[in-house]
Amino acid sequence: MPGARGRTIALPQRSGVHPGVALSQAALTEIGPSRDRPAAAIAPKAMPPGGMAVAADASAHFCTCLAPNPFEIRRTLLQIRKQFVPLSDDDTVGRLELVLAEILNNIAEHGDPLAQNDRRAPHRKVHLSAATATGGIYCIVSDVGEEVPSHCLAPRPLPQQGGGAAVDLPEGGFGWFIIQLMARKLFYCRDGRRNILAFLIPQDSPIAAA
Amino acid sequence: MGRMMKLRADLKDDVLAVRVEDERLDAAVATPFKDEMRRVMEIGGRTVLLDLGQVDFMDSSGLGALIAVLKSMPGQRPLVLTGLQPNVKRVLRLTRMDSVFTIEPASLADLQAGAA
Repeated sequence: MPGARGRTIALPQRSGVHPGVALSQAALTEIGPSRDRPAAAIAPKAMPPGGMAVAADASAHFCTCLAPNPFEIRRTLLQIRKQFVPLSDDDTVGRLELVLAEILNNIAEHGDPLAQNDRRAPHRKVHLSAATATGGIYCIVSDVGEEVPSHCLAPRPLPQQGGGAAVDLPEGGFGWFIIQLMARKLFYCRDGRRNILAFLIPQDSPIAAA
Repeated sequence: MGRMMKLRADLKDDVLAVRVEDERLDAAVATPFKDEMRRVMEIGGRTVLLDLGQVDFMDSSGLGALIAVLKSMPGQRPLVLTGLQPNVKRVLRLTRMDSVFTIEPASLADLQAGAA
């Protein structure tokens, strides 16, 4: 990726398409029943030299790079909330924030440990793009690391709650359950050493807040 | 790391009211939250009324921490959640943990004012 200082998502290039959005449709694996394709709706502009969160224009585009650690994840989610609340509604932004938190937490926990130190490994940062479009907010998250295990992407039930006793309650295992429940048009593809997840947070959710 | 979790605890009669003074219960504070809860519960009282009124975001790490606190409660000490904001309620409902926790719909201020 010339001139991008290693920040542009390393996707297969096609002529006339910005490398950062050149998602190869054929390479995408869709998770779940929908057959729609989300990528055309996502057109993040070139990342600025600073590589940090910058609104491309007055419409809701958000592009950033972050080191996958809990503090940068928190900071990024707060930026996303600030940017999208005026352009969407609290419920949709709440669902966006939750799904992104679960994806980014998974990367922080299971991804490349070197990526957590952004000074030593800037090229291993997580790339995140989000944009409003008809139907909701589309997102792409990309990280360098191990391939996402197929069982994470398979439809999954809630973790077993045990026999009703508090001591048997699960304290984890909810992340992918939440992602799959709240995200629509969920696609996954592996590109070299990068994982790429694309999905839609629909404006009208069957699963509202309270 | 070293992030602190701010909790404010008030013991009145046998109710220990614990207010989370942070807007987020997430992966950055899940462990400090559990540690700090363990510490403040030693203040005493029987029922622990956990006020999440200031928390407007919780992820599954925060939920895991809440579940860990619930599991660590001695048998005779009920844990009651109050002040749940929409994003917190949603995570509890999606994971069906709303049926596991005792949830008090009134706010802590109402409860302390003795509102019926």
